[in-house]
Amino acid sequence: MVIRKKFSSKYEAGWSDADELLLCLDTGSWRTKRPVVDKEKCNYCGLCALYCPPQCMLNLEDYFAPNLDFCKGCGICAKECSRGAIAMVPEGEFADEGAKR
Amino acid sequence: MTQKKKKLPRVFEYFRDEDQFAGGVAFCAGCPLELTLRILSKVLGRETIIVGTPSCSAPVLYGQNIGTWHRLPYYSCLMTGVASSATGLVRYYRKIGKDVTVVCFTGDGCAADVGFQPLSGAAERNENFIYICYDNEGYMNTGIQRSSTTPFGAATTTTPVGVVGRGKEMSAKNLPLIMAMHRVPYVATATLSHMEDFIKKLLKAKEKKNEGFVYIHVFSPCPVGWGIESDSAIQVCRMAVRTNYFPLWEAERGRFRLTHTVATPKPVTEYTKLIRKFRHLTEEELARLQEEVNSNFAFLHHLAEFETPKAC
Repeated sequence: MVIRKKFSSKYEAGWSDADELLLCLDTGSWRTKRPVVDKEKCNYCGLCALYCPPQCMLNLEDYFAPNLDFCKGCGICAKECSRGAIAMVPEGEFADEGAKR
Repeated sequence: MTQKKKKLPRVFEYFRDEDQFAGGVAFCAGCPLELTLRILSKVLGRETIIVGTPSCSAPVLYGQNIGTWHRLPYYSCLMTGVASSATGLVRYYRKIGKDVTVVCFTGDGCAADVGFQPLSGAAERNENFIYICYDNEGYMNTGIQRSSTTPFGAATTTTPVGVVGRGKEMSAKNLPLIMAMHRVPYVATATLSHMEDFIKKLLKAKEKKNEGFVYIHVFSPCPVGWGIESDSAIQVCRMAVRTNYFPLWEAERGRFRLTHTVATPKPVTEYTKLIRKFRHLTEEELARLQEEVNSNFAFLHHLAEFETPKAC
């Protein structure tokens, strides 16, 4: 499904002034597992953000968190995290959150 | 609790520009190609024109109907015309006096097989553009057929494993070495597990393209075609470097330099056991693959030793 919408979130890439012709896929819906960051274990090394293929790890100044709109759930962040701070949790456990998104 | 502000690693300082791609684009989950393109747009900046072909990168780079997935200018052409078209673009922008970086972004099928003649020609003419080949060792977009960079023993749909076939019988073509033998200003191999190395090579390429032709060979595992888990693409890249299967080097006008040396290379079985396309290999076949890796690296090592003068 192709979403055609005006981008307004600050998490969008450099073209938040883009018009409707810039396409964007809802790649968050591809995900079967969701990366969950343990804030205590995270030492802000940035490896997850560096290796994330869609480059969707958000820098929250103290730790990194995935942008779940675009995270495809590939799991590279969890594999590359040297401290094991990211766990891949099956999406089924977040089934109740569906209404919020 | 007072917390000291944590500092971001230095590698992020290389990202001069914003990501020019849409948040969600149609690449497979875990594909390093997407990472290559996003890093490329972050490091080289907006003044970049991508020239591409029908390939894995095409569905995203082309756009769809009247929409587009990214903000970079894109020139699409056939596989046989990518380097020639880039030549025209470079000459046009030089004529109107605009400083842009023209980047050819193609797969190994275009660079090593179909579009090799214009690539070699452009290298010989020393045109001022960057040619980036992402090497996924096969024609992955059309259904995982073999290409000339597919390694020995790899199972693809045209070199199947069965009663008769045992994977590809021939060795891989060492394309970056062939390009280095054109004695162009800059040739480098890179992979995404060694990100800082890759970014430095991209920046150097941007500088060197003012002198002439630049070629970068990016090792890019294909999660679908190679039969690896979507989360292990970076691990496979790293293991390819650590086994000397894919050594990282650069060559400036034929002067070779290894940018990353492995103190104790691991046996190639450490690399092949991660990948499903190699799982049928017997001891003898693995020994042959190891022999190829060793001889390739020894050749490269000789070149690097030979070309580096001790005095300066």
